[in-house]
Amino acid sequence: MILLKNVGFQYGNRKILKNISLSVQKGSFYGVIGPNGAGKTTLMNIITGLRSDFTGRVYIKNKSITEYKIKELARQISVVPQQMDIRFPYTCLEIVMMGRTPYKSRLRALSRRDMGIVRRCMEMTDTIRFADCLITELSGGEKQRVILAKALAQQPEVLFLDEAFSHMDIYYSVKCLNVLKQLVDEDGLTVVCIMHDLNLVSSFCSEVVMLQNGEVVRQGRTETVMKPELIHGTFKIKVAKAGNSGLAVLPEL
Amino acid sequence: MTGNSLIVLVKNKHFKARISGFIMAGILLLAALISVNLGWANISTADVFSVIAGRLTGSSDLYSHLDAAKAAIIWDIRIPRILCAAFVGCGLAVSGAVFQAILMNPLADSYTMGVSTGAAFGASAAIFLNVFFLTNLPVVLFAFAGALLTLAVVISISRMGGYVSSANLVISGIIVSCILSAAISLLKSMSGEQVSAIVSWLIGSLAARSWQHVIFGFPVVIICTFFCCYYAEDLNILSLGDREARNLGIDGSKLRIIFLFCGALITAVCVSTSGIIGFVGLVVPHLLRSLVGSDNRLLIPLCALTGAVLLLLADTFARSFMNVEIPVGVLTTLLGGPFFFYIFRKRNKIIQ
Repeated sequence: MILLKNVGFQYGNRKILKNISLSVQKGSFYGVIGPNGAGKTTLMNIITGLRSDFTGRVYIKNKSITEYKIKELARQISVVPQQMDIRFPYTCLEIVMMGRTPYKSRLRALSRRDMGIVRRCMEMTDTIRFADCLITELSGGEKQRVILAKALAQQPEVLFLDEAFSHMDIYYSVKCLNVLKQLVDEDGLTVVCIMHDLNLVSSFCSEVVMLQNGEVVRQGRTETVMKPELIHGTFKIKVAKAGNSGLAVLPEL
Repeated sequence: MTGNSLIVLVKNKHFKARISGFIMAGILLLAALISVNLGWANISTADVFSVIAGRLTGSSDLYSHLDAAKAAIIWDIRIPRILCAAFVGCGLAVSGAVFQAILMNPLADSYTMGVSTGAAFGASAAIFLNVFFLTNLPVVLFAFAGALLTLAVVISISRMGGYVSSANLVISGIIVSCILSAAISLLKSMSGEQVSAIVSWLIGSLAARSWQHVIFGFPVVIICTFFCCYYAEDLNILSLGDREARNLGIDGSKLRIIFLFCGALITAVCVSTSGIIGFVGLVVPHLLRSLVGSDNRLLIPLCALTGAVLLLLADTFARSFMNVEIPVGVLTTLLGGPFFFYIFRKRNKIIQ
């Protein structure tokens, strides 16, 4: 689905990413983890076409990302950014409807089918009751759910999430992750998700990429990467296995 | 909630906007009809309409019984002034909405970008040269050139690595605007006794505007307004920021430049027609947003109509109901400023 070959990036003399090669398979749930400043967001910006001043190659469906037209790319991938401040009082319905932009032509209203997709995405994220509310009046976590609904309405093949659950309470984090997992398992969606909660990573992701200082230190099946000793090496914390697939962070360093 | 009820939600909103649009268009027509009958010269309503009908149909015998001065007051003074008020009001409100969206700042307008100040500087420079070097430079064209040059300077300052961000635009707009304001003050202080020529131009007024102004400005404002209506959907997405625009398949950086140019063109035409008229560009979009929401597809056409109504009413008031004519730019700022303060406070209260 996505292939990275020797991708590097630097700000002036500071190397942010060094020689990263990765491949992302269709229908998998990827977690990207790493300490602050590891280069997670930069990597995502490069894969999603936001930055073009990098070295190396990025291919999406065997086609170099630089050859994609901007609208064509918007039908393949969608990004939920770390922060998105919307300064105009749009209603939540208007925001989610904007997710259909890559599929509609100007001056045309959304079709019944489009509205059906919009409704489904709002139901999945439990935001349908906000349809007529102003996005500027929602709480941080509610806003993130609306933005997730918009990204889902875009019906991408790959969905990128950068800390997209950071303001949600734990109920909605788990609920939204379950929704995504279901889409991955049943509809063949590919999800690439930057997350800090190692327990949720172990519970939901099928593959994990661990970054440190701009390099991939480990990647592979979740159970092979999320091992207490590997996590201690990168994050300098102690974790213990909890339940079937979970991880619990221990208070001592 | 079902899919159908979502569609109903959308339809209701469009219906409400359409009704507001019809009402506004009605008020605009009514205001124009009232305005054409008001003024110092005492001309009866029947005479007013016979002049208009005669001029429109090209049959001069309809108003040949009137004396030529009266016919000229209607056709060459009042009507051009009404049309100027309408298109300047329309232009200021539309460009305000456009600048707010592209700068992602609900408190922006053409002043934030320095475009208006650029126009004012161009006009001041032309007046200064005309007075002291006895040249005969066209003030309107200088105002126009000043606005577009300012835009070019602001864009080139805020361009970093081929990319123009809205934060950079606001900052460089404010800086350039400050410098130009100082330059205008310099011209004023060097003008000594003749300063009133510059001052009276800078204070926005629609007095003595002719058909020339209408022919120059009206088509530009109308075409640009239609352009903005056509691309209003892109403007919505642009108002979420460049990153989100790209995510949804729209090249924000390129589109922002196009809209900037369009907004600046409207501003340039408006300021060169009327001088500085404040707060229409700020208040009208803001007010309408609380009525029909932020969707620019509904907002921009309504801004066009409401801006025209507002300035036409203000100008009619300014020229008809006082013993001396007050410049309409002063009136809109005197009324618009406190009003804006009021909605600003009210909004902050809601957020808290």
